[in-house]
Amino acid sequence: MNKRGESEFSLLYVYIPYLVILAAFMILLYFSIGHYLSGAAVSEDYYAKEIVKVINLAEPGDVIELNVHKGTEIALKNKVTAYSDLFRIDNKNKEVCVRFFEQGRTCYSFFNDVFIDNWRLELGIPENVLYFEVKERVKK
Amino acid sequence: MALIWVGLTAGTYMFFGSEYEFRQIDANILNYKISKCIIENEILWKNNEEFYDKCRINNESILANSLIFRICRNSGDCIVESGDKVLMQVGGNFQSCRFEGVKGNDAFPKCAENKFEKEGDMYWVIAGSNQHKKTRSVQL
Repeated sequence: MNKRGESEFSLLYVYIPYLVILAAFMILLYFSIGHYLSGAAVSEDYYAKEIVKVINLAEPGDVIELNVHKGTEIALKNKVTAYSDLFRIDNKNKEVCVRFFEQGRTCYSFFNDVFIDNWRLELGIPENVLYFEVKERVKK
Repeated sequence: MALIWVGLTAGTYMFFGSEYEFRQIDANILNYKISKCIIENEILWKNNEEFYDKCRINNESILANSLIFRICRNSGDCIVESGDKVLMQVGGNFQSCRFEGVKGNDAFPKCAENKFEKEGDMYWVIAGSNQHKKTRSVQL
């Protein structure tokens, strides 16, 4: 009476390895091209370079507020919810890093020898804004 | 499946892989900063430290990110100049700045040139950039 059910069950066993391979393939594909297909890579690149442009042209004493609302929307769409991690300004390596995708971030370097202080993402004023202060570099 | 993966990945990289072209802007900003600094400051050109300090340019960042520049005084052609007329230089192969055939080639820098007069001397600044974005993976 259960013969048909049993055969379907055993048939499923035959397909399990193929399903595992398919799943592995999909994961591999997601990791290798997901960053590009989601649009995150292009936006990260754009934001990192535009922020670097502002920093390179800045003078000590400047206070910068950049509207990054569109970027935060892209990050949210890609399930990056750690807002504090979307933008990073590394004074030691003179680098701006932007992360709108879970598995990767895009960085670009600036050459203006200034210290970027108090950088933070301010949410909803009324849109999301990247805030930072440009200060004189503390000499060693 | 491997063939499909290779095809999709290669296709995606070819379509989305080219980055936001920023090297010309990088070169323009570097040239602007150097020119402005020479006009506004008295630089003795005895040691490079003084130049980097007064112009607020980070030496390590210039060297690490494929940025080049050359400053000449009273030179007929700064690109090919040598000797005392070259006040300072970082990087080499400035001739590639003028090659017509390499304008679309990512391997060569994008350059900016500027000539100006200060206290009877003619200054010639060439700056170039071949900096590319850096993609980093994020540990989850």
